[in-house]
Amino acid sequence: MAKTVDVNVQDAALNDIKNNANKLVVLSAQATNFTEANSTYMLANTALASGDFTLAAGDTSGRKVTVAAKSGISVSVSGTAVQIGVIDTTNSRVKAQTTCTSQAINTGGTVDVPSYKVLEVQNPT
Amino acid sequence: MPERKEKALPKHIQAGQAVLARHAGKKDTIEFAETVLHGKMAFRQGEVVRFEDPSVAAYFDIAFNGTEFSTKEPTRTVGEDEINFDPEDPRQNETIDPLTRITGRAGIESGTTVHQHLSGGVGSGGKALEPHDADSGSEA
Repeated sequence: MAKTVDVNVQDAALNDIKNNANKLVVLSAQATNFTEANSTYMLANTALASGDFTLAAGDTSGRKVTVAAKSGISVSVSGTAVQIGVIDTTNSRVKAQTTCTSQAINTGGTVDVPSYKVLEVQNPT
Repeated sequence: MPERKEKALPKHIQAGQAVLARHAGKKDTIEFAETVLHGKMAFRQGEVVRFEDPSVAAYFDIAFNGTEFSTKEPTRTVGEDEINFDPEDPRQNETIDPLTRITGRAGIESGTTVHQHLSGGVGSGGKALEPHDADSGSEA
């Protein structure tokens, strides 16, 4: 007998990200709260819309949401990018953040963030 | 050695004109540098005085044979050191190129490749980040 979960349950989590995250941020450290993600550690940022997110079948199992690539993001603070997050500035929430390969960036330059999987909610085991 | 006697200079030698050197036609007989203050200078028979001619960036020699001057057209560009000349101490036999008295280099010499040091990119093309996909397992 297998363990199952309604796909709507999985998509509910993913849609919360899709419908509320309105900013992609490049961070110099892991943010533990909204202020750190939106200000303290933020090196670069760009606006997001729900259309930037795509739900699909998970790579392993379940469901996933990916965010579209963003290029030419102006660097506002020089530093080393180690985290990328998607945040909700309306409700002051850090919806999800992930690690990235460490990269030094400088003001006056730009960064490109490729499309990546924000979250995959796998089937229960 | 006969004494120098003051003689009126040819008219084309102007007051204020720099005297680069005096010599008797040999490199090692420089005595002193001076500036023509008026239309006369003291000369010794057989002496040659080298005058700067800034209008054509050259110099010319005037030889005094005891009674008259021989004037020569500018023959060389200032900088060729047939006569070793040191404006700081003209008695020293040190080579100087008058055209390069002002030394100083630009911070970057021609031919130097300036490497862009701004990471993150300037203009077209930004620094590419590599985010890591996030998975969330669930357990029932």
